[in-house]
Amino acid sequence: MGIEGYLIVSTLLFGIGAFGFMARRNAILMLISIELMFNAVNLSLVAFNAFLPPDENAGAVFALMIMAVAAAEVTVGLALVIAIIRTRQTAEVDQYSDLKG
Amino acid sequence: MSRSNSSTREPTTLDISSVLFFLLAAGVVGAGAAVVTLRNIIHCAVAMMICFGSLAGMYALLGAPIVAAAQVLIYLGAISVLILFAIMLTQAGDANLPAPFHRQVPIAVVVALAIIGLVGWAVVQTDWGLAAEAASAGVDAIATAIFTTYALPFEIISMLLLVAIIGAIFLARRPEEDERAS
Repeated sequence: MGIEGYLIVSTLLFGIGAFGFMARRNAILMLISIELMFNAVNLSLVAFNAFLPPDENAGAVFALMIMAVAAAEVTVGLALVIAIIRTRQTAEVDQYSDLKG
Repeated sequence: MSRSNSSTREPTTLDISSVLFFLLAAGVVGAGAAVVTLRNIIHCAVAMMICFGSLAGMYALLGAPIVAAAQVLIYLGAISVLILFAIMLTQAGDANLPAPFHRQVPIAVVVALAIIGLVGWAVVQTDWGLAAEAASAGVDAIATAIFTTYALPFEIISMLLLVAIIGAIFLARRPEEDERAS
């Protein structure tokens, strides 16, 4: 399997994640969609690292670091979402309209 | 499963890695589509775990076993459990079941299809002209790279994780302290 197959899968997953982020109403589902997009980018990085080997495996190292940053992001993001849901009693992002003019 | 038919246009015989690739690709894309379309959010989280597991298989297929192991540890082991805990802490009953989507679904579909079409077209049009087989990224090489060339980003990420832990604890503890103070 050439690099195109992996990049197509990565593109499809990124598009799915973007759709989920824009279309879903649940705040936690939006975070999950962001994770899908992170994973799509990771897949393309690892594919480039395998088929277009740079010096010192930069793609794989980048993928590992993105995983660490994604873990930090989802930790803080979920803590924020839980704090918002506790105060607003809903997970629907449509209801978070306090700043609407 | 229609994906496996498209492999027959390749004149070469269907070897085991191609079969594995198409199975894993179907798992990634199918589970990803299930994540954004299912109504019950717990089902979405389980589909997300299937998607992450299939991606770990893809990393192994790409000759990056350390990335596959990290995918299983971090995404399947840590982030999925964290998200499941968050869902179970916050979802009261089936409050979210009736309408999972915004009104602007058509716009989202158009934008997502535009992203897929544009990037996919670029991928197909580009003449990559490089190795047809994946080269393996060994654990030794990656470990050496992390602790020599990329030592500074590695340390910065450890600081970032510390800050994230403190921030998450602060955000999660605050309502309880407010109740105690009042």
